[in-house]
Amino acid sequence: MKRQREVWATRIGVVLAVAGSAVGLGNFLRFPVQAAENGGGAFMIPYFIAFLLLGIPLCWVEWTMGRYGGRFSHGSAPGIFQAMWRAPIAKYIGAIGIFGPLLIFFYYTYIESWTLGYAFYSITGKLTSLRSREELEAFLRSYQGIAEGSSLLPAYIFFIITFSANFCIIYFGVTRGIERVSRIAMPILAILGVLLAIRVLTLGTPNPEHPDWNVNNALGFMWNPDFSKLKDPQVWLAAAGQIFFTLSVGIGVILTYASYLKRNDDVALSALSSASTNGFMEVIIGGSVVIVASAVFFGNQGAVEVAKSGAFNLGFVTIPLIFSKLFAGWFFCLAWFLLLFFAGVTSSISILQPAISFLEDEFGFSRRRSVALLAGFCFLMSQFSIFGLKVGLVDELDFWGGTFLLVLFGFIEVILFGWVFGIDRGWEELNRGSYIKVPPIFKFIIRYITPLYVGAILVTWFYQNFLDTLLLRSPAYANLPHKYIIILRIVLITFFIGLLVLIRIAWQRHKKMEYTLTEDK
Amino acid sequence: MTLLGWLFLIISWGVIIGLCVFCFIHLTNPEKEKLHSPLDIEAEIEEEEDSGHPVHPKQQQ
Repeated sequence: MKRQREVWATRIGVVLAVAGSAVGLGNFLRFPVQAAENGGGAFMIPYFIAFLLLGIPLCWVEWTMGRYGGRFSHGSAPGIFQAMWRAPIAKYIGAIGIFGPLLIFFYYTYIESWTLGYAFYSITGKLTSLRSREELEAFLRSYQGIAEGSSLLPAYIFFIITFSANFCIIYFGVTRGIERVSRIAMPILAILGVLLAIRVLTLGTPNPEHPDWNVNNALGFMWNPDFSKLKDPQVWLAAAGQIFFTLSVGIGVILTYASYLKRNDDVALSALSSASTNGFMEVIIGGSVVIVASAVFFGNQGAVEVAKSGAFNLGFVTIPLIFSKLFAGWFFCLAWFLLLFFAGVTSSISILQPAISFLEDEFGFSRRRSVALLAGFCFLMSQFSIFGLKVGLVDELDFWGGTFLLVLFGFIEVILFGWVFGIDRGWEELNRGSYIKVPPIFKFIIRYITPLYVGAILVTWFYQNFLDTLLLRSPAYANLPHKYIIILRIVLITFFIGLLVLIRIAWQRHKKMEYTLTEDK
Repeated sequence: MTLLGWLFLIISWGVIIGLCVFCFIHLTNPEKEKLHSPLDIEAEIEEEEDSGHPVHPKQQQ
């Protein structure tokens, strides 16, 4: 007997939910740094090319695969892959679509909780009372529990609040939880983003001692094209990587979200809408706040230093420092951290859903049981991020979950769709119930160009990063004790093997049920 | 900011805003007719669901 699955209540709801999943901290912190470092305005050429050849096709592939799997009551990658490819190994390959997102969740929620903590400290005035970079850096280290003699208690309290909020939303289900939150959070996110962008773009020349530190020159720093950078393959790779991360493709989230669509619901326009919403948040809001504000307050050279200091420093040190210099600085600090918090929440709830869907669809667990099991497991695993930040465990999880598996899974998906399931069937599925006519050239792109593009990224990363990271030879590991990383890897491998076993048990259970039903007949 | 900088900013913003407007106008307009009738492939789906598994085109023949 097939279990009755939830469906999205509205078209806008599912678009906002997928866009919410895509819009994350990276839109506001990663994109502007990538653009400023890789040719300014010229970066937009490889960016838009990657958007067309990589981002949009992969979005369409995932939405179509997800809706197709949903027809067979499968909402996670193992079931969806099995529905598309009857080889027994398909479901085991799909394990990556549950494993990868959970790896991201183990550290993402902790970082998300910092934004809530910082929003709180913005209201209390603590943040704006810190007037220098050194003070803010010391505060961040203390908050993270890295500074000597500091306490992790405040960070832990905000983590528990954030963690609980995530699971509460998930507990209410797809329509009453995820869809409702996305419909509220996304407009708030857009309003906060536009508000901050307007404030930054109207800063003028705040420091009379440096008349050249002004908005016009800051925008120039961000947008003046440096065409010589286009000769550098790394710039093209950076643009492709940015598109990959920003659109939430290759995670498995879109597969799950799309599985809650009805069989004739549009996917082509919905995918394009969520991708364009994400683009709005990234290019227009993300490109107008952090780097522009940094160049206005510290000059172009200062902004280069800021960009090199990393995303955490940019978001949690530089921006509060800048806003604290403004009138009603606490309010803009609050708006900034709430922006990041809402972006974080809409993303983190989405990365939980594949695992929830797996437990509900494949084991027939109730929502309460699935949420309780997953919450307990995620809480335990998140301790690695909380207590292992100093020893590089967050970076380790980010490399495997947020980088490598993403690209690998995206590559598997596009091959499965274009070559195993068959491009003709896939194309028909994509256009089924579509509200726009997908240009036929995309049939060729999905079959040939996108796999080659993703394959090239995968091979390059494998060549550049994978072996050094795997063997702990990368410079990032130079000053870190390796034993903690090895322990984490053992735990993760055990978790992955456990997941494979669960998939096996689930399918044995399916077979048994099918057999029982046949006997009953 | 140079003229080229402005040009890149305006084109980039224009593309993104244009795409957003296009998508949301079409999304919120329920009058649009679906381009692909679901009935075209209805028979295949029913066959697949009866068996519980997708049917490969070769098997259908």
